[in-house]
Amino acid sequence: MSTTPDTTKQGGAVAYVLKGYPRMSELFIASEIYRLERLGVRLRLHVIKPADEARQHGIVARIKSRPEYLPPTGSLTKTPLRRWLAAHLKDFLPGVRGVARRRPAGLARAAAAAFAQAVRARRSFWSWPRKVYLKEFLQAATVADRVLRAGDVRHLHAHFCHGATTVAWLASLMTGLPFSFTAHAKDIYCESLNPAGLLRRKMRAARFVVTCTDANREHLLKVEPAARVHCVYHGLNAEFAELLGGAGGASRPHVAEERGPLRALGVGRLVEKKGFDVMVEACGILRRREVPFEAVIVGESGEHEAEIRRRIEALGLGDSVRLAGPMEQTKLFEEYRSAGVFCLPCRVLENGDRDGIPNVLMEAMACGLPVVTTPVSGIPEIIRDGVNGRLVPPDDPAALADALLRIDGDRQLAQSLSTRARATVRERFDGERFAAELAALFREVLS
Amino acid sequence: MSVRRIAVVMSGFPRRSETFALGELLALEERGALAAVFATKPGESGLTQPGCERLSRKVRVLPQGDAARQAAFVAERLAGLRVGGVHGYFAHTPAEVAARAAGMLGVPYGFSTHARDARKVAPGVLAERARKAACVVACNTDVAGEILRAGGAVHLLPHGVDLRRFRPRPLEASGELRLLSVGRLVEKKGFHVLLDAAARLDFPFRLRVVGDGPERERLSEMVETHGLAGRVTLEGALTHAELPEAYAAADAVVVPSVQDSSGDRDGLPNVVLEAMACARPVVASRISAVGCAVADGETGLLVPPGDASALASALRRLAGDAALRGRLGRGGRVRVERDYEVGRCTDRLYELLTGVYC
Repeated sequence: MSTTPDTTKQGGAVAYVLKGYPRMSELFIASEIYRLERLGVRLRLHVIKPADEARQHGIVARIKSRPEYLPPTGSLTKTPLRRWLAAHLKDFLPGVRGVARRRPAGLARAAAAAFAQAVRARRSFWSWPRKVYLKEFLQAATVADRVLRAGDVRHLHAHFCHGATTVAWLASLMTGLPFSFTAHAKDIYCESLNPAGLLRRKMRAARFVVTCTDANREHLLKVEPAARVHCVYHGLNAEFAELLGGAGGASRPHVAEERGPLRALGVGRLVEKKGFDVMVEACGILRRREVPFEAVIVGESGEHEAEIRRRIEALGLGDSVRLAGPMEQTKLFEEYRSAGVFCLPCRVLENGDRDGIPNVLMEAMACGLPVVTTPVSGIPEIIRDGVNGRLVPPDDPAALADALLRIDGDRQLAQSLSTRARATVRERFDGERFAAELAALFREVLS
Repeated sequence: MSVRRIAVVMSGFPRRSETFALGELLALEERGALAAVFATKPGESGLTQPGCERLSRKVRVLPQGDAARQAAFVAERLAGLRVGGVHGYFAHTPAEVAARAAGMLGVPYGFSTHARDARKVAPGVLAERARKAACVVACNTDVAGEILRAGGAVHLLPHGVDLRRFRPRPLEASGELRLLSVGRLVEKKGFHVLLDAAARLDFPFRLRVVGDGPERERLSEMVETHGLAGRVTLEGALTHAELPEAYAAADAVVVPSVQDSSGDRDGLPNVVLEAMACARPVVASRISAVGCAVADGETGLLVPPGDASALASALRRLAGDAALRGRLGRGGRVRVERDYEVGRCTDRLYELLTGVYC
């Protein structure tokens, strides 16, 4: 093991293509990059959208690779093509010229692929070709140009299998370098993000595909059975693992010693698939049963926030349900330590969008917090009901309230869920191990 | 007619996990072709396989020492008998002892090889030993390939399976998928991968792991930490009579073999053939020679070794499709009837060895 990083260093770099970086809600990507660097994989980060978040996780500062941002663009869908080109084409032309000089045939192949996709994906027979593929073609040319100039890149890898992967695919056609991608959640299940068989086409073209749950892997293999799809769990992120290690394992006071009101914690962006509205409804039931409780929901705002606030208001829970906004890992860690039960009532949306194995679920379990969640998507791969957590049906506030009460009332159950949850994460979701698996996949293509 | 017979050098004998050796030696003994059996070390006591005691009278455990000393002992015992050749039953020490003893007696030697035994010998030494042998018998294509690469000639003769002892028996439907895994609890059997896969399963199932070994403690800890207590039982070893019952009570048999950290791996584990003889679908790693017997989609499902995710997918596929299980099971039975019937396999071994040595 100790000699392999050196061979990778000689073998070349992997160019990551990311939609945004660094993002508060995508700590798992920063954590992966950090770990890959430490495993000796050399990376170059190409980021499509400019950084627009003021806050970032501590781990980002410890990553050596500096992100290279593509020229910023406005929305092409909402702007007439001519105006968009007038504003942005000049930023992308140097990249196109650079690739045209070095790899003219590759550029032509990518142009043909992008145009064919634009035609296939048009909204109706009489519609114009979809403009978004022109934008992605131009972005790919800039990535390809930078990759060719750098000279040491041997492989391209994208996160999320819609836009960023399309850019990586086109850049791969231009440069002749192999590419791969990691598919996560919405990007897999929302067909509108990969219209007209685009996902299948990219899966066929990719050297391999990585995804973070078995459920995703099975779905992807249905899309393209001949593809090489690896399930590599995220595991506990590096920053959290360090916090946990620092706390010496005694990350949470012993369950049986706790008293006082039921403290429920939910963590996640305020989007519909996380089901926090159901959590609020369950809190309403607790209130009706006159159970003393307090609830905190941690996470950045999302399209579901207004609805969640409306329900808190309607149920008169303003004093006991708090929306705390996004949090850094150290503060979040404190929340996990002081809560009595973790609550994440995930659901699958009508457009297919869903979570995989939510990273926060793993974190809560690692802290020994008893968890209540739902058996959707990849969650049954980590939780066995009644053993290391509780599973309740999605969209069922009554079942959720019952489960919360049961854990609050049955100290022995809470203790046993807590112990086993901790063991589950320790034994099966070690992030270092999965980073090493990913590094091995890259090494295979780099060698 | 020749009256020359064959002397065989075993490793430890008898051993519970090497039923095939017992069967093959018995076949030689019944036909009067066996002059003597030597074991380079003591075997396990208290075994219950039928025929064991019949052979054990013929087995002599060699005094501990290097191969030269053991060979001298063999040669001394065989002097004066009409021995046509000395056959080492494994490629490592037994083959070396056989070769030396044969040299002292002035008769040809040969050896059989199965899996790990070939890897216990340095490639150069193995090549030399194979080239000078009158015959080399390999029981699976994986290890046969190693001999061929080393430059020797090799006869491919699988061990075969007793089709009367292991036969299809009806199984009542159940709400759970009943899984069975059989083998020594050692790393190369890949039970840790199976437990990882089991932890990911989201449908009702039960898993019986039959066998014992040094990994037992680690595996039972995994059962506990993966939250599998109550679904997975590590049953320890079963008796000879109980094993067919275990297959009969299973919906599918899992063979999750991997290459272990020392590079060792299974050849064609007998459990594969036994499961197929019982008309049970086999979910196995695509490793070494397993793919020769298990045809993906015909007699079972093959998954990449060490890939818990792929193994879980295959199990999920079987769980949801009783018709598929039935079809794969029947396919397996047809296959072993054609290629792995034990009587025919031992006949061929008898003919080969007597043809070479007698």
